[in-house]
Amino acid sequence: MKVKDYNDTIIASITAIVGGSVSLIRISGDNAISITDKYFTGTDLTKQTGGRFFHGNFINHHGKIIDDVILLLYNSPNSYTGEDVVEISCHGNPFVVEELIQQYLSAGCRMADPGEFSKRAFLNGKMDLLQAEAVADLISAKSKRITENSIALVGGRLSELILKLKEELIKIASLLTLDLDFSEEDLDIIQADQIADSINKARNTLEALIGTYNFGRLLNKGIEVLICGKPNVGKSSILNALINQDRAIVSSTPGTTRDTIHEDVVIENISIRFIDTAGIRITTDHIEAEGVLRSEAAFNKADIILLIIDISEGITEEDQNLINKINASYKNRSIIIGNKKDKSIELLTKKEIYQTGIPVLEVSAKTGNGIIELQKSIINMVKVNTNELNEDILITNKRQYEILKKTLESLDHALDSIKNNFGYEFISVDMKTAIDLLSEITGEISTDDILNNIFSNFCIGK
Amino acid sequence: MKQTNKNKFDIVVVGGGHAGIEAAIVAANMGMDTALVTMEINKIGLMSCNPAIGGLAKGQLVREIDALGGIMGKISDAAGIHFKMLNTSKGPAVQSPRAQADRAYYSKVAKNFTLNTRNLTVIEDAAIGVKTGKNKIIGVILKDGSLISTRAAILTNGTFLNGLIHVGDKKISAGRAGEMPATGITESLQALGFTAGRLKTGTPPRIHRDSIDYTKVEVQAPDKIPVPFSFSTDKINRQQINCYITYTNTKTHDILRTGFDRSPMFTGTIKGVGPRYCPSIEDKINRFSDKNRHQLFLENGTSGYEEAAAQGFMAGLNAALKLKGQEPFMLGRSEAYIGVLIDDLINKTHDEPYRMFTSRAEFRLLLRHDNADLRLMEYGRNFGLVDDQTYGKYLARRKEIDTIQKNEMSKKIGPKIFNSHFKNKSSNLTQAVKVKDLIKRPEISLRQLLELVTDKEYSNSSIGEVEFNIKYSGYIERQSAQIEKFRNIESKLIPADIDYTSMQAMSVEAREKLTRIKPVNIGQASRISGVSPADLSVLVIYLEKHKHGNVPRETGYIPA
Repeated sequence: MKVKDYNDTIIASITAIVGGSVSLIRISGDNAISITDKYFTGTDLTKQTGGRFFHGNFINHHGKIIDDVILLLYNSPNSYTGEDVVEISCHGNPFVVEELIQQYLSAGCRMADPGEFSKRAFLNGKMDLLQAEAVADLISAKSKRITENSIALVGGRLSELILKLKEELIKIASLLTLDLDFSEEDLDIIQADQIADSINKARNTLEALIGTYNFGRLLNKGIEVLICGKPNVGKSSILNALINQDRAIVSSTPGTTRDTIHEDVVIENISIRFIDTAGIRITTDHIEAEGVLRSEAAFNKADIILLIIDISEGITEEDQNLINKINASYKNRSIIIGNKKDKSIELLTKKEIYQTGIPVLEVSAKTGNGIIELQKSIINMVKVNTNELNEDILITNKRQYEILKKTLESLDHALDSIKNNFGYEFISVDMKTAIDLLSEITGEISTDDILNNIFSNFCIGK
Repeated sequence: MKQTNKNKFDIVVVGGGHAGIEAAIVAANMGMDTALVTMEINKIGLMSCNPAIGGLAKGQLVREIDALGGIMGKISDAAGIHFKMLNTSKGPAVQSPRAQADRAYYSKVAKNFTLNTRNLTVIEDAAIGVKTGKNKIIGVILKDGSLISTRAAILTNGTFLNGLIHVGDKKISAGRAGEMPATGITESLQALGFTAGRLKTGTPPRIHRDSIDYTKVEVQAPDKIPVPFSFSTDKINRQQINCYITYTNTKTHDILRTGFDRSPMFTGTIKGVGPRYCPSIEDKINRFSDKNRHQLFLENGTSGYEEAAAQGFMAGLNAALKLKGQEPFMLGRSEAYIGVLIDDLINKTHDEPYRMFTSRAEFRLLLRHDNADLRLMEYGRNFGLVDDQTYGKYLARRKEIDTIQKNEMSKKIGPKIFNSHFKNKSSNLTQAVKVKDLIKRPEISLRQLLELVTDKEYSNSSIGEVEFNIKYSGYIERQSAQIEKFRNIESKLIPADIDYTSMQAMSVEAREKLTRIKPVNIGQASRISGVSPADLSVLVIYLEKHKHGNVPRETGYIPA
């Protein structure tokens, strides 16, 4: 097996292979231009300067024309990866794309690993780790908020913040060591309470940043709302009503499994996936083992659970079972929906429901009555549950979150030391850890396994 | 005065200062036929600057040299007249021993050590160059042109190399006041391709003790029980004297300011860059102009003897090891201040004389002056540099520490005894608690607790070691985790045949530095000034990708 080399020239399609009238293929590395030149008839690429585009035919090694293409040329270091890059815009035909890529592979290129373009961009100093991760986020962003967040992060906003934080900590650490080194020189360097103040300031910034993770993570992956209820209460109609209220950006993928149908919708700039649990039944006497497992998994995974009840029929035993189940385990993230309000004149007066403390909404999927309130309630519940603060920057990434938490821990150790009147040499220990951790976030010293870990979570073509 | 007709040796050391005597003595003690060439035998080990040994971070160096088998600690204990442990109000990790010495007597003791070492010949003469052939040393050339053949040469001329002395606006060519500089050596090295530069340091004025009005100064008494530098010294016997502190005032500052135009530093006459950390009084007045008084110590300050001695010792030891065909002895940054010193000297750029600080040691909690023996004496013993008596003391201490940990730490102290003993000083107990848990209370010392549970007498140093490790165990754990991470990166070896010039993704400066310094591992590479974190990442990835092609270095040694 050929060992993969950092110096290989790599290639991948950077647009989705199916769909779209145009496909874009990127080649990066030392031989990107020379190999392309072999197959491009438009001009002698080796004599061209980067930053220009060219039009011509792409041929195979028999001289047969594969496609009529537009070619974008980038000379190192002015490219995404920092190496020589060629991007070929061809017709969005999978056979064309395949044959085009084949020419490169036979000329010695290899397929790019997931995230490899971004990894090279990072290694060539075109961006730091935070920016690289933001690129991945940007591509998969499921909400406008995340999109804006990712754009800011790609632009280096988070990196700036982290850098500033690190500089603050380095300043504090320097004063500590200055005091330690020159304690004999009779120069007042710094007092313990001043140090505590500075550390607290940094700590507060850090804590606010960490606090955005719950919400950021949720926004990033998209909110999952589970619609459950016994048959014929109108689950599908509610689903449709929720969707039809807003323009769907993502066209519904035929995600029909045996048990669920899901639809993706954007509400208030947030991507929400509604999952209709058509096939899940729960009765008191007979529960399919497999069905229970599936239903448990779906309930646990959901961010919000909507339990639909047909008001016009009142509350049956099956309804009650579901209410009990939800009350027992999912109380904080559930809403009870009384559907078919148009049919019933009476209000849902069964006291038991209200006693659970779970919010109850009455709607009519048919008339649309109450649907907008329902949407708002869903969003609000998410915000409350994730402690949403109106912060500037959101952390959406688990790796970053974990490191920031450890950094906070270190600062807390340092504050403890000050409280207990330990000497500066002890405070320094935790300051060093905190500073090292912040360097880790932006990827200052990364081992290959760390980087592989990060970039392998990207998709191919990034 | 020893003179000799012998002109062939295993190792020749040039220069009889603090580095030279360590190098020569350890080389001789390792069994090498050694010569020390010095311009004046009576000036061996003479302190050019402050007559003091030790101080912050430097005291640690002295004790480490001693643990390994060097002599600076022993000489200091014999000649010290004012011992003071610094930073006693702070934690043990930043405490350092220091002593003012009788300058003349120090030199006498040093000379005695040197002249009475077996395998060591002292040659009173001036060396003016080195002779080499086929990339090997052939010998050291003396003033009269004659050659002393040698298999290894150690140059410890130090501040004497083409020395230049400025007194006010006068310039004199000298190594020390009244002594000739060492000439010819620098040019000899330059001919071999070395580049030369110049650094500057200042020295305090000397005043006669009878010219001081002792009624107007504050007394600084020495420590009642002086802690010796050397692990082989039981007690300091020499009589101790007081030192004194006084202050400048605004009148002094005014007077000093009138002389700025004749100060060679201010007028730019001095072309070397002085130590930032050793500000002269002009510096202090200038930079801290809002202070209306500055401390003046009679007499206090630091020099560079300890750094010199450490380098001399390591050079002598390693020259001997090399000639014996053995592995070199290297200390890592996490093992000793000596390791920090040498690593920094190799990897950093030096615009000013290097001075050791505790802040240079990332792992200062573990590198304390009082555990130098636990860290290093085994090495010294293995090289045959530590005598039976000293080693015996060390083993006894190890045993004592073990005993305290095994026998005493798990003993419980009942509420009655504890509460009556510690009355207001520590919160009451409601049930019996183990010693090892009680010791975590910052207000309680281990000695106090041991008094309650045993009649056995334990030494302060052993109690101190156990106490520190428990009281600060959290910090030690976290520092040890840092060391783990550090060693991981240090263990990523860089093959000897690596070609940095081909790494386009790395900055030009980094490629140059790496090619020049040839670091043995990633950790060392990261400490080279001019190598940025981004450059480092490129190197790390390159090494991972080319793992199959790694050519391990000759020694395969991984610094701890």
